[in-house]
Amino acid sequence: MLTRKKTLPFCMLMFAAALLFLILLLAPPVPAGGFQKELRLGTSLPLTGPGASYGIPDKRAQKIAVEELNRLGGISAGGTTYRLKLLVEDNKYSTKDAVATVNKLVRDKGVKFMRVFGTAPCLATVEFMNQKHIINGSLSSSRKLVSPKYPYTFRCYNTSYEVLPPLFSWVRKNMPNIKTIQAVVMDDATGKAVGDALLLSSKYFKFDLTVHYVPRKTKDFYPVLTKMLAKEPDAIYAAGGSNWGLVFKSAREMGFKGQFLASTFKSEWWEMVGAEKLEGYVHCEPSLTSELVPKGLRYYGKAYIAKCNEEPTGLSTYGYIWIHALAAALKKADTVDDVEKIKRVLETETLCTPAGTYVFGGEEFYGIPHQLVRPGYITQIKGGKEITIEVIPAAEVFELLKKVYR
Amino acid sequence: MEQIIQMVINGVVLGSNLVMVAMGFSLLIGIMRLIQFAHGEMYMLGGYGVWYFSVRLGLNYWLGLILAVFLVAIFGIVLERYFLRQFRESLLPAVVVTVAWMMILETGALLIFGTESKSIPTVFEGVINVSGISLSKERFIVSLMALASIGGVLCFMSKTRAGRAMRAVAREAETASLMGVNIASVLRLSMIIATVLAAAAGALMGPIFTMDATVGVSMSVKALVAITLGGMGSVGGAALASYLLGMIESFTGSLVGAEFAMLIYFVTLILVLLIRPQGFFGFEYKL
Repeated sequence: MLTRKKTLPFCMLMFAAALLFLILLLAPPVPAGGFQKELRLGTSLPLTGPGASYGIPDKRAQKIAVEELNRLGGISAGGTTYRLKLLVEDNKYSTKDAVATVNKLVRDKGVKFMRVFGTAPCLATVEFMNQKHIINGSLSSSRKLVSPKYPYTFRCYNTSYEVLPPLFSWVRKNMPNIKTIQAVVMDDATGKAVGDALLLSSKYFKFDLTVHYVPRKTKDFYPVLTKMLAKEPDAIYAAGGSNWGLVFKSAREMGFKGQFLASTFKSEWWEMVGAEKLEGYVHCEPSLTSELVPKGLRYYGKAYIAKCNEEPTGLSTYGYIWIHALAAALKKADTVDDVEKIKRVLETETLCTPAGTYVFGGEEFYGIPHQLVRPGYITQIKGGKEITIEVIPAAEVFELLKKVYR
Repeated sequence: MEQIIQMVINGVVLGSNLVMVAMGFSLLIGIMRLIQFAHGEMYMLGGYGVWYFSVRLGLNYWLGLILAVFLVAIFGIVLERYFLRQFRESLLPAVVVTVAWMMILETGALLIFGTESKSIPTVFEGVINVSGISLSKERFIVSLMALASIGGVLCFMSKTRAGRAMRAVAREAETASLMGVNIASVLRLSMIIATVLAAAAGALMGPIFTMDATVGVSMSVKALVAITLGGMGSVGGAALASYLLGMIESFTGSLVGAEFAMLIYFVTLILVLLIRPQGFFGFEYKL
């Protein structure tokens, strides 16, 4: 039987136990790894359909960046440590699916930071994200998207408007025999933007350039090449989907011996086209094994190969850069909730990240400093390998852009 | 002049890409009396099959082609027996079933083979160059094979007993049955021939054009245009129309712009149907 002397400590003990139980019940769950909270990042990109060969590597790149950041302790902002979680949705490169996936991520999952991939998906969702003040590190070719009308949309991608002037400048200097270029691009929103950029750049650098538009899914390029090669060009420029390596294969079969120029290269083209036919091919993406490329990106290249058992595309580096740039901005702003402050940091600060040092600029061209500024890369295929042979500093690229688009 | 000859040659190659699929499609309409919307997927499966056997497993290309065509033909037999035969001459159920199979096969291919285009190494290296006109040896040989297949099918239909039975069933199945023709065998044989043609086309064109899961739908649409132009159920008409469409695509692509090719296809279709609603050779099965 409990005496009066013994009941008091017992009651206090019971009370303390009940209080502790209540605290544990009501306390928020601690994310694994000792993080205090979880920060959700969203991405809507093409994982199936014609854009998948670009969307899948971008998704992987973002995941690698997220895993890296979590391994390094996540993001500390406002006194809280956040574990990053990437939510991925397939927009199939269609406007309908883009709208559905962005709605799902923003409305249902509460995502405040997005990356939407593809010109048509970006155009379809930009108004909605603007209304909801969602910061979007988009990948799209349309000039319309980087605009004071869309103050929350950033472009973490160098479009043809940014990469062509350095490429054409390099060609002018190093391949003076090239005077005429025939270009073939897709007949969609992205292709039209590429075509526009080609015409503007070629006008400044005084190349005689003609653009031909074909459907993205085209596989037989003989008809369009018959037209192109009738003009006996010095160079062929091509920008399209993953099967567009067939442009280069078919051109060589049809007797073209001139220079190939492009904005990118895909590793499956080695098999599709053959190393011999690709010799001398020049494009604007960094080769992630080249010494001239920043260490962080080379590290990314190795991590991608280890994880995915294939080489990353040059284009996928933008997905990696976006996550790191956003993380750096959140840390600098010291908040994950004050979107206006985060936006200001992205617009004004130099962001030092494991992927390199980046700024968002381009106010002179777009009216708002929301365009990623990164160096210009010239990569050439030599002896069956991609080698970055020149890196043009970002400041020089910007000066060039001012002259070309004056 | 060189450019025009090049365009004609390009048109022949484009037509060759379509003719084997279109002939099979026409055969199925003539004999099975249904539009097999999943027929283009047989082309896709043939291409993927040869990729799997020759690239993934490292077999000889020709062995891979034979295996791929054989397996797709087996699938065709099963499809005909258990999913199509009962819908013979029933338009709506046949459309629903064949479209469903089209989606199943395309989605299945996407899941199994992924979204990237698959390339098959060139079988016939080298280029034929005559007075400035170029054609890869690969395209030349495959186009010859396509032409040979037309001859083969037409000879089969006119010179063999089985071919005559198929023509009889296409004309009047009940009477053919009363005359001792085994209808089930004829349906199965027509499916085998159609599937073999489509799968072989996919396998032969794979090294030239690469292969992806969405190629079947576009082949079905083009084949449908070809057989409508040629005349429903007319194998010879389908062959002619395929080469006509190949020329349209080639000349449009070279003179106007590739983005207009499909527009010109359908404008041509409408114009021909306005003038001759039954197509070049009409609905009844004819050579």
